[in-house]
Amino acid sequence: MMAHNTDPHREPEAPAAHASGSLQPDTPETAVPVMPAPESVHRWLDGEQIPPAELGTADAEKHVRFWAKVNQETERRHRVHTPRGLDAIIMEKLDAPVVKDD
Amino acid sequence: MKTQPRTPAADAADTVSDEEIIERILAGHRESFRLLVTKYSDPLYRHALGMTGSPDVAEDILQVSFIKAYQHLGEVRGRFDAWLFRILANGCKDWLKNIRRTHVSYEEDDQPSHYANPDEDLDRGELRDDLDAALQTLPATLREAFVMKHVEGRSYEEMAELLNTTVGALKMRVHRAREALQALLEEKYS
Repeated sequence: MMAHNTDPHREPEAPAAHASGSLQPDTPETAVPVMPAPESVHRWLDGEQIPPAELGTADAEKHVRFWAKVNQETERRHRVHTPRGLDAIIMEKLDAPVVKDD
Repeated sequence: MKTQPRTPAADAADTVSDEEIIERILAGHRESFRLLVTKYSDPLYRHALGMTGSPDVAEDILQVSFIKAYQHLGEVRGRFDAWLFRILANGCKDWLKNIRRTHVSYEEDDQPSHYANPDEDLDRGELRDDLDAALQTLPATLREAFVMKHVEGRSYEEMAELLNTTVGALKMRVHRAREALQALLEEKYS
């Protein structure tokens, strides 16, 4: 098994931190090249109902065509399942029963 | 990857609350943990796969996350699913940090042989690989937001709760991620 976060001093602390709602600090968002899309396209991708006229402009159309292709792939990924048998592997690796801490 | 049929464990996990399952486990019924694994493994696996691009790494992170959750189950406060998600999300970020620190490139590590399906046509396979490669170039926060929105299909409200941030901030991240991905892929897929 891959050993992520194996520092013995850190490991017990991590879940407690998560439990209090703390995620790791965000990675700085360094400048990445972008291709700005019309707001109507973003709202469409966010699942809003957009009047066809708004998505039919020359500028919006190319974005819609592009995202229609990409969405086929993301929708397929949405249907991916955990590999068969992984639950059994996890159950085998569990330690002795845990005890409530309070 | 083939779709798995619903199992009795999955049905049972849907009818019992997480709190009740956790109570059973803490009372010594270790096997009840399987209900939580069954209930949450698919969405968490998708997240890890989207973040790392590697099915092997995603499996490992999923395993480690569930084991860690089991070991610290007595510390759960609030929603178990959000707590578990954060363990996994941090595991993904740890992996990304380590892989950058050691200068192991995406290409040199696990090739994304995932989603392999011989029946898929070449174009779709190409888009799959290109999207993976493009996602790898995004900062972790943008990739995380895009994967949660577009691959996991979560609402902004749910994402905000899981990531402990605002809907507005997440919309901005998703929008930036889309625009960055399109800049990378537009020439080939416009």
